[in-house]
Amino acid sequence: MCLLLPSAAHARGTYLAQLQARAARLHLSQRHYWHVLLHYESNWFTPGVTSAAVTPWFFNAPDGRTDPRGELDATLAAFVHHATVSARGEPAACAFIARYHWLDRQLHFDPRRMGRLRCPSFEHWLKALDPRSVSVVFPTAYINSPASMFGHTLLRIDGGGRASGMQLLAYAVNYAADVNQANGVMFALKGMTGGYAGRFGLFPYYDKVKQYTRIENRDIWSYKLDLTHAQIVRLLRHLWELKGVDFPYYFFRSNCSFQLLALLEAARPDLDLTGPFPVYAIPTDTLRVLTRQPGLVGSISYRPSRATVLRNDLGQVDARQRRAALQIAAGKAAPAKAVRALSGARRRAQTLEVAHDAVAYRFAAGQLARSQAVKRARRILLARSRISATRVFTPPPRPRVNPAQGHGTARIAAGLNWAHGRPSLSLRLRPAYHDLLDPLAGYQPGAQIDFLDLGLGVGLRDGRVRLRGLKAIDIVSIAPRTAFFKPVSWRVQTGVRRAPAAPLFADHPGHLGYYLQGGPGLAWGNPAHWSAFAFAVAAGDANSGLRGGYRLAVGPTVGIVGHPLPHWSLKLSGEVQTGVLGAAGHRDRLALGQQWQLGRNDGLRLQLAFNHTDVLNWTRIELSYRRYF
Amino acid sequence: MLRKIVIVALMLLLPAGYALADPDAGCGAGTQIWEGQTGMGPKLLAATTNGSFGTQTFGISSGTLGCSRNGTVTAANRLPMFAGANMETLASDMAAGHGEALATMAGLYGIHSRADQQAFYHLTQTHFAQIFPSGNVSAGQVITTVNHLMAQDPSLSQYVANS
Repeated sequence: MCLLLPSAAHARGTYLAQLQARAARLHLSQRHYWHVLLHYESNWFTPGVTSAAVTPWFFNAPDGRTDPRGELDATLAAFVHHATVSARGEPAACAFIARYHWLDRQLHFDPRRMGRLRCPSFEHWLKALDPRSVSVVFPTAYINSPASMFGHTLLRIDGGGRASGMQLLAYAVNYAADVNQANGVMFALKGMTGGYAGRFGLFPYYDKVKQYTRIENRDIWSYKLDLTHAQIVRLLRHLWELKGVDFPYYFFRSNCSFQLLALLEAARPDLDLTGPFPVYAIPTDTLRVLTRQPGLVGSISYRPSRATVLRNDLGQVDARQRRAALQIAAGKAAPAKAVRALSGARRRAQTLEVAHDAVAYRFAAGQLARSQAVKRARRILLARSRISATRVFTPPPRPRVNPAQGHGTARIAAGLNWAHGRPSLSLRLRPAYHDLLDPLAGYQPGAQIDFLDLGLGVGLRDGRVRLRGLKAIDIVSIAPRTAFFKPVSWRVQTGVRRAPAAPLFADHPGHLGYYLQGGPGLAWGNPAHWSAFAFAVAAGDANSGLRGGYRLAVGPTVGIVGHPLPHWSLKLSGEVQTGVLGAAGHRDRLALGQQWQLGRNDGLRLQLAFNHTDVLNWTRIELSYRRYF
Repeated sequence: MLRKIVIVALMLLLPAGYALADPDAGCGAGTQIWEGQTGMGPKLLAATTNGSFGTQTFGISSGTLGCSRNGTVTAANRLPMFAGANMETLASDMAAGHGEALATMAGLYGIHSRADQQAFYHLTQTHFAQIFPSGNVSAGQVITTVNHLMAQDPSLSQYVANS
């Protein structure tokens, strides 16, 4: 630079001034796309904008994070003066290649004065990706972990030049909080309050497939996006800009799904994808926003997890094969010997494949040590390789409903409540996510997670509004046991409720207090149709309405949940609770809940409950209309 | 021939450490069956393994992932990396005589014709005992054995001679 002749520097200064003046005339810094590329978001309480990105070098102007116009002028200066972004080890025009191309389109850079754009690292990277199509990938919840129903989304970049059927060689674009160690409460707190830095990562897609389908047993849905090659390149140019850029990670909003939408806006600036999510972004809701855009989502595909495949295969073998497979998987019988008694090469091969998948599943579930699992699996495969029959199972069918077609995750309910002989109006609001009576289509059977479920009552005579309770978290996992799968079901619920759960507007108003209850359980059947469950529940209440101010009670909860018809959900449960600490006495409850799904986002729910305590018996009937959005 | 030149050129472009790296190292990926995986039970708050959290090593921060500074996989490393990361699936696919991972491996050898794919599946199924002599075989050993078997096969030898 110091060798530059003064006149050359002067000429550059003049050209820069021209560009900046033209940009000002065109109001480029107010354009939507400039705000997309810099991740500007309107401030909540003051006028102006702030970028969601926090990495200093992402901005060329000192106050570029809050000043779109200053940032645009400084960006042009960095381009004209061929500045280097040292954190990235490349010229500003390459580090901010999406901004460069967009500004070039608007201002028509003069190649003689700007120089030709040469970005070998980016070009090499783009060539290696060889992008042909982009899909949004959604791994569904994993079994027995309803919290994972909130889910995750990532992008898949499929390359060309590879034969079809080689999707595994694609790349995954993943946005995640960069954490190395943390776990537990601190982890959850930091995740919710922006204590972690979120970052984009690029991975071989097969690593993700392995993690989801074989280690975590989650089915994967992919939504292919109809993007032109130019749009895909725009997306990747912006992804390149975001390499090493930090965003504060907020579990509820500025999460994986939100950031992927922001990235897609770089490809299709005409779409407002992030707008519908001012407060929180749940992955399946973002899928619904994508599928609602006309012509954006093309083909939808499904990749079953190992557990799904194993369950599917088990449906295709007979009792003798199942018994033999169980013996082999448990290590109680030599594979080759155990299948010898079975007639037909195909049946023997089926038995061995099921046995192998069962071993692999148990290893992934932490029930089998690696040393044992590897040895056993190899012996099974060796026996299998000696049978030449192939494709011995029909693969699992694709579910008719994909997760984007499920009900909206927020729910509002209004209805009539009749308790202790008195009627009242009932209002409920639940921001997320799904309970066992909600429409099942697109959700994980047997998994419930309700978040901040607020119940209000309005007296018909006095018009008073009262808080009935707030379920902060209510999780139920009904994981049925079979000969092959031996999971432990569980439930946990916490929030604020009235004690001793007195009916509204009775003479016993009940006091509000904190409670926490839950416990392990066992379940049988198929949650997609009918299942039975039994839980051992412990419940703790801290409530001024109780004698002594608290109560710890224990007892069983048993019941059935099912879907007699496709649009009909039903749950019958009975619970007995005996006080063991604090306020004594019984509290028993028999409840029947039913919901008729009027449509994808409408339902009619009827609940009946008979309550019995030492001091009071009462019946509650509630009929409500539920709307999902 | 062209492929050879490209691979050699790519090797020359790589930092010395990569060219010398033992392909068994799989560029940081697990290379044995179920290696580096721990079993997992149910989770109360599943976010830890939900993919929302984890070390993000895209690009400049690390050179280990994908064998390239920017997260992509170089051609020379594609087969060992893929095999290293998919050992258990490759083993069960080979034993069953078909499967997506095995089809991908065939593709990485440049096998695209249906007849040769079938020959490749048949070869790996019938020689399973030789390819996986124990449960602790490494990805590098698997590839060496498969290369060796292919070289002796009349219809498949062309694919190893080229690479």
